[in-house]
Amino acid sequence: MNLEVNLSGLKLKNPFMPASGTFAYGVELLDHKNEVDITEFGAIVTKGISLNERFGNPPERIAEVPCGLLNSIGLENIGLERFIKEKWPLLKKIGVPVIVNIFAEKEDEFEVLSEELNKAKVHALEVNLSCPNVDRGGMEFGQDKKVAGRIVGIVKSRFREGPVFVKLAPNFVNIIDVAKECEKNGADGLSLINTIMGMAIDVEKREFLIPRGVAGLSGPAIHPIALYIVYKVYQEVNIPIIGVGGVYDYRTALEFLMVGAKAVQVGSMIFVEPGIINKIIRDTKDFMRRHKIDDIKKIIGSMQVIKKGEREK
Amino acid sequence: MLSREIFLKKIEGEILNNIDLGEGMFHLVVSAQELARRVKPGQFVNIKILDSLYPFIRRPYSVWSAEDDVVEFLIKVSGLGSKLLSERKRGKIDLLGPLGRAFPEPTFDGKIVLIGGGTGIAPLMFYVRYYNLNDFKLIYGSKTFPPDYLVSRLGEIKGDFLISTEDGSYGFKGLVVDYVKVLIKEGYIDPQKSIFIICGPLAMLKSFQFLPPENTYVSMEGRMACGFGVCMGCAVKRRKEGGYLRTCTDGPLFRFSDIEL
Repeated sequence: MNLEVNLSGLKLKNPFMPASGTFAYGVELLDHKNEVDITEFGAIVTKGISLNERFGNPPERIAEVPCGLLNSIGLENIGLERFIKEKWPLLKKIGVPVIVNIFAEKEDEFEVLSEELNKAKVHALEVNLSCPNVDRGGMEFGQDKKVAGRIVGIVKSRFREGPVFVKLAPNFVNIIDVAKECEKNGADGLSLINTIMGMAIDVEKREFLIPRGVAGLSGPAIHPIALYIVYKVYQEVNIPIIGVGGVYDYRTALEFLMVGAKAVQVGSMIFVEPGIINKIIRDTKDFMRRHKIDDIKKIIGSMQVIKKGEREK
Repeated sequence: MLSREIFLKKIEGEILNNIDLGEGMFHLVVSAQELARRVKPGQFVNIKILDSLYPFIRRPYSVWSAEDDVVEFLIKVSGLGSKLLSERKRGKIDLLGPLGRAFPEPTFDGKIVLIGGGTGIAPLMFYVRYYNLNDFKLIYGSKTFPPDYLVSRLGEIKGDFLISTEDGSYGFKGLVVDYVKVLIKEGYIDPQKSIFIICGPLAMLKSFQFLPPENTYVSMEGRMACGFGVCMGCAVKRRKEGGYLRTCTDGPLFRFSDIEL
């Protein structure tokens, strides 16, 4: 049985990996192999790394909503230098491809991040374009397709060790246009989707559940939305798509593959079931056995109603 | 890296008993051998309320007692999760833990003063029992006269036990913080020669900031998504260096001098 997939040169033994921000730096649970066996993962995706350390937002940072989670962590991270010094040496020893998620508040910070992570020889990058762009009054990079394309160009020209994936959010933007622009500027793949902006209020106290008001919605509640976006974008681009959003079992993971994603990230469900990725790998193998599918590639893109253009299988 | 005390493991427990104690509190008793043997006072268990997508995330509850194969929890109904949990009378229950760092061993240079508010009394009772303490003061702050069962359990405690109720139905009338201030004034507690461990709601913890910060520990209970250090949700402001600590892996117990509330 073959579960291997190839994401623009990044070879994965299976398509399943954690979503950025739900698995810390990827090394915290190495001692807990009984519950989470990271060596079985298709890849590891780190939490977002910025040029400088960020403390993140004050509490409360988490609130539950029906079948989902609002979070406002504020991209807390230890910064590029400490990441390379403290986390990368442990990560590269695991023997699983490592995708480092990066974000910045200014365009030139993307230059340094890409250059330094190229020098460190990390295996791949995932560029988070959902951070507010300080130079443009706080508008997210990914909300302007020209800016998004330019960032992709900046990162691609400096990071040559492996593929560059771009993670996009569906907030106030035509995600298909942005996706196409990223492809045009050399992106090697797309991670779809980042959290959806949302909010919730405690009406008795007349307080936002998250003090900042706005937060990122994740969890099973967003899965059908993410699935439809992957389905739509798959018809418009020729680069691999990593499906992400509300996966909670092998069925929801396989849905992404069926509409065209080549890989799948599991996010919030890790908080509930730390061993969920291992379980999804096991259950997918069982599914393939039951359905007599010898190669997972036969599942990818198998549920398409309309399909535009040529596409490599 | 996680603390060595944290044992990330899903354990299937069996609900033995789940009793409404009154005053919005319930007493959950589960059979879970591995958990009972590993858990130390101050640690918590992340409980999956139902095998469903809503409630989605687990709920963290600190342990009231662990003996032989049995783990007990004292829980207040405060939202959807605890409400649904209070209604689960039997069957399997999905537990993750023990999580968090245990309270420090009671080898302090000073008298131990334990202050609990509401169900915050639970880990303190586990603490004195686990270490078989008899030389300590335990002050319990309650809204009203506590449920009979809780009173009987409190009666088993060997050290000095004092109580305040907000409505004056038993003991000192008023907030526990005001009671502690009186006890200090009367010379019953010498704050300079005491170690304080305080568990209760955030507002109560905040009210004790007059105590010597080096000698005062508080147990935090901020919202968290995972409980094992990967979501970064349960932030507690660090006092000196800036930035945040995490309730789940750095706490839940913090020294006042290390954090800002």
